Amino acid sequence: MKDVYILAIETSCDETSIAIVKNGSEVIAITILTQMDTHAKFGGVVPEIASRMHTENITMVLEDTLNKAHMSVADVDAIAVTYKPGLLGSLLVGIEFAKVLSFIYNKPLIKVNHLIGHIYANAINNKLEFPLLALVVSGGHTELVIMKDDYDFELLGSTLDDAIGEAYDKVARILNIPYPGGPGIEKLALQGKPTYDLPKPVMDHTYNFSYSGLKSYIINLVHNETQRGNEIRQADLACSFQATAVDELARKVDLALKNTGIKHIIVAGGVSANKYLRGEIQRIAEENNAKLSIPEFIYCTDNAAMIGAAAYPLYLKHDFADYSLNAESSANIC
Amino acid sequence: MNTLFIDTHLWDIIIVLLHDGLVVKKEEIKNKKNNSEYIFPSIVKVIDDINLDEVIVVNGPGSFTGVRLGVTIAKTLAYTLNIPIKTITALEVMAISNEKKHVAFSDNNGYYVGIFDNNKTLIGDYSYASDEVFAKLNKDNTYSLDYNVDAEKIYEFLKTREPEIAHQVKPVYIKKIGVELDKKSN
Repeated sequence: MKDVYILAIETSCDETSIAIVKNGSEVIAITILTQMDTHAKFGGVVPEIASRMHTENITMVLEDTLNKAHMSVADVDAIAVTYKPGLLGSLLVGIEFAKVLSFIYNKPLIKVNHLIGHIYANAINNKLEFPLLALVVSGGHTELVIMKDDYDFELLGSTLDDAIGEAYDKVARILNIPYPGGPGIEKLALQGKPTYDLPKPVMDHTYNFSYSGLKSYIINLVHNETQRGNEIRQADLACSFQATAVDELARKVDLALKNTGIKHIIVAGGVSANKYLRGEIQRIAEENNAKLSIPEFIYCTDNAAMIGAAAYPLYLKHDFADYSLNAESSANIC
Repeated sequence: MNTLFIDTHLWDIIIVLLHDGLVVKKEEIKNKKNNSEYIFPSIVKVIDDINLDEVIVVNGPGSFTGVRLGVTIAKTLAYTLNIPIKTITALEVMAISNEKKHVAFSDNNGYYVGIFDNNKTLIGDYSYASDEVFAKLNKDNTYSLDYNVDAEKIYEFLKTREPEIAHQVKPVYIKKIGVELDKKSN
């Protein structure tokens, strides 16, 4: 079969990224221009600034990717772009940019769901073995999904309130850890012990998650201790929070592996960069004799390579978009 | 010489194709706020089977998203086709098309204002005025408020303007956003 090269574009939040991916699994070249330093000054992503920076930088990001690949847009087979979920203004820059490339070079346009992109980050330098269990953990999502085949998803459970990444960010804010909060908590937790007794999120037999109770408990705890003039053991609290939040994920993954008999688990989404989480899921996978796939660190956070990987099955099905493609701010996997 | 003119700075989409400075095709869609669905299809209608030689884009001010989409498309066309790109502001478009020195338009929250000399050169800076402030500025009705596009006049006017480097083309926003205002007050 002829090799398929997809040029993929990702601008859903604060990274401008373009990649060329071969056959959905081999990254020929990738550029990720992050705006993190700019947004850190404001304590979080400012949507209007993110959109502005995408417009300013996107043609330069393309040039950089093409130079790395020693290719022209004419050499690829399709143009793929993230169209949901994300910041509307940011998504739209990538979408209009993709339409122009598709038109000028006469290549099909493929629209990709960013969340499914995170799942397909596991197809890079790896083979997805179906059926598999996918744990999606990010700032907006916490979901456990069975994937029977390419683009064939069945939802097992999801968060009833906050996503795990959101809980990390909010706890970071309470502990005055600068943006981005997730990596900050992880670092701080390494210096602490899980000495705080925190409530377990959802001790039931569903596959659902809940993080707002844990978050509220920590807000109240910090508030009350501060009022009493007691010192908060920041590192211990970060460590306790992380242990409680991740143990909940691990317990539900364990339950799902046992109940379904599935032997391949993948982790997807920005929080999959968390080393404690990676270690815990690794342990559960080993206990269940399951194969574990976690993307390389560079493909855990937002990047265009995962969009190129997720576009490949759509290319094979000729599932193409037209030039009326619009952005959508919210989306689910299934 | 085929020139594409793109104006998506507010609610309307205006796409014009000029041949040697004369209008040969025009696509105009009124009041499409959610214009991502319509902008590029309108452009394709105008430039399909044409070899483009130049792009002119209205780079603001106006609706942040509208301006950004027009500029993103224009700079990507210019970069991929390796053709010249020129920018013009919406207030220059008014000054040239209406042949007026005082021009302004409303984005429903306030007015973008520009004052030009006889050579259509901006005097001072563009400003964004609240309805009340603008009402005072315009108490003698000296401002031209109708947004018209005369693409042929704009083409003539831009003949002497140097093209820009596609990578460096960016929108003109004028109006401050929340975080900029917060920073000032700190």
